[in-house]
Amino acid sequence: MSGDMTYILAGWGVTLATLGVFALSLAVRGRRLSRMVPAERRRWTS
Amino acid sequence: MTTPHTAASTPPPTDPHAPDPPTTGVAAPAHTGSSATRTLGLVTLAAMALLVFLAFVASPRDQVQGDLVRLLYIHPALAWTAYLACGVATTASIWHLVKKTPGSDVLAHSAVEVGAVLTALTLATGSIWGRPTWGVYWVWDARLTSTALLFLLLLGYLALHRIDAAPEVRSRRAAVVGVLLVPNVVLVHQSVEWWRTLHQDPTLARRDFDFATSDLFMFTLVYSVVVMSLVFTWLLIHRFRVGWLALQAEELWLDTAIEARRAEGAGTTEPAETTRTEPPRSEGGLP
Amino acid sequence: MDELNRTDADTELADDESRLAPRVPPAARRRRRNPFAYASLVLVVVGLVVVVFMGLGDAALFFRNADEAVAQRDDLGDRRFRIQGLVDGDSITETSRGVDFVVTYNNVDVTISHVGDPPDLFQPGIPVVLEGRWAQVGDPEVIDPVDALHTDDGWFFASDRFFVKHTEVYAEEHPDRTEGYEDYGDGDGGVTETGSGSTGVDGGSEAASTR
Repeated sequence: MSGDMTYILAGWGVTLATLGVFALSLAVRGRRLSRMVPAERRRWTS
Repeated sequence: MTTPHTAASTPPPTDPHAPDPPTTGVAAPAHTGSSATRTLGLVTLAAMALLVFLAFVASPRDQVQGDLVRLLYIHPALAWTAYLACGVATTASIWHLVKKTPGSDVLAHSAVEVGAVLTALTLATGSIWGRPTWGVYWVWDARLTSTALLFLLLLGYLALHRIDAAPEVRSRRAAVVGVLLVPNVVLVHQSVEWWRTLHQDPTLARRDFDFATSDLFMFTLVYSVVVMSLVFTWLLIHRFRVGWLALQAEELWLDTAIEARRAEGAGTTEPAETTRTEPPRSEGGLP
Repeated sequence: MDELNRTDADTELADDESRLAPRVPPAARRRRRNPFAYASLVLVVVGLVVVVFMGLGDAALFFRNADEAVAQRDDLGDRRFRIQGLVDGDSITETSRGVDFVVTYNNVDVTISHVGDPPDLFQPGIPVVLEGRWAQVGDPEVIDPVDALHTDDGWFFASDRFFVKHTEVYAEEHPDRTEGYEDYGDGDGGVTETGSGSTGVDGGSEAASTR
C-alpha cells in the first residue's frame, strides 16, 4: 500500500514540520524581544 | 520570581540592556526558555519519538483502512489540543473582560495563535486522511463546516488584535471573539451527534477507554493525545512569554515616546527621535 | 504562573503622570494604521459567510438513509441528494463506466448505478454515501444498472459521487476476517427525528470491534 504511505507521511510531515517551525519562530521572536526589554522585566517565574 | 534561573547563553556583548547584574541574584534570560520549559521540551521530544515508534512500527494495520489508521494517531490529538487552546483562550478572554489585566489578554492572544496553528493542522491532517478513506479531501458536512468556522473565528481574533487602536480597546474587542470560541468548540464536538456527518463519531468517548478490544490502537490513540498536550503546553508557555515581552517592549516605547513629547513641549531643542520610529510590532499575527 | 497576575503597577512605570497621558499618542495611531489588518479581517468575514452558506446547504442533512430515501421517493422527484447504506458484498458488479451494487439500511435495499471510480476503500460490508438522484430503468440521462441486480419496480439510484463513510471503530487486521459491520444499521436507524440524535452506529460498533 505505497499509495497510502504517501498520505500518511504527508500528514505526519506537515504536522511535525509546522510544529517545529512554529516552535522555532517562537524561540527567535523571544530572543529578539528579549534584547529590547530590560532585564528586570523578563524574569520567568518557573 | 522565586526560582533561581541561569541563562543558558550569555547575552551578546552588543546587548544594550546587558545585565547590570541584578541585585536580587536572579539572572534574566535573554530568551523565553527557563529550566522548567527546557525539561518540558526534552520530555516532549522523547515522548514524540515514542509516539512515532508506536504509530509506525508497533501498532497493527486496521482491518478496514489498513495503514491509514496511522494518520489517526495525530489527527484527533491535534483536534483535542485545538479544543484545549480554545478553552484557555475563552477563559482568559472572560478573565480579561472582567479584570482587564494585561496578562490575561496576552494569555488569550497566545492561546488563540497556538490554537489557530493546531486547528489548521487538524484540518490539514483530516483532509489528507479523508482523500484516501472517504474519497474526497473535503465535504461540507457538519463536523468539517463547524471546524472551518472555528478556524475562521480564530483568524478573526488575530485580525482584530492587529487592528490599531488603544491597547485596551483592541484587547477588549478581541476578547469578545475569544468568548465565542468555546461555544464553537461545543458545536464542533457535538456536530457528529446533532447532525448526520460523513465524519465518524468520537472513538475515545464512545469506547469508554475500552482497552480490551484493541490494546495498541487504544493505547496509541490515548498516548497521542497526551503527547500533543505536552507540545501544546510548551508552545503556549513560550508564546505567552513572547507576548509578555512584546507588551513590555511596547510599553517601553510608549514611555520613551511620551517622555520625548513632553520634552518637546517643555521647549527643549532635543529632537524627539523616538516618536519618528515605528513602535515595536506588538504581538502580531502568525510569523 | 505569577506572570499572569502582574499588572502595570508591578512593572513600575516611571511616574504617575505618564498614566494620564493617552496610551497611544494620536500621531502614532495615524501612522500605525495597518491596511493588512483590515484586509485580513474582511477576508475572515467573507470566509465566514462562505462557510455558513456552504454549510447550511449540506451540513443540516448530509445524507438520507436508504430506507428514508425510498419512503420519500415521491417527494424527492429528480432532486439531487445523498443516500447512505451498507454495501451488499454479493452485489458488487464492476461496469465499464463505474460500479453497480446494492446498499441496505434497515432491511431496505436500494440498487446503485455509479458512474466514476469508487474510492480505494470501497469494499463489501462498509457504510457508503452516494450523491445523485432517483431514476427509473430507461431514463436516458443516466445509465441503467446491470440486469443482474434487482430493482424496486424499476427504481434505482443514479450516482456520480461516492464517499466511504468510515466508522469510529478500529480493529486489528486479520487475514481471515473481513466482515465486522454486519449489525450496522439495525439500531435506531440514524433518524435524528427519533430524538436519539445518534447516527445509528452504536449497535453495530459494539459487534464490530469485539472478536
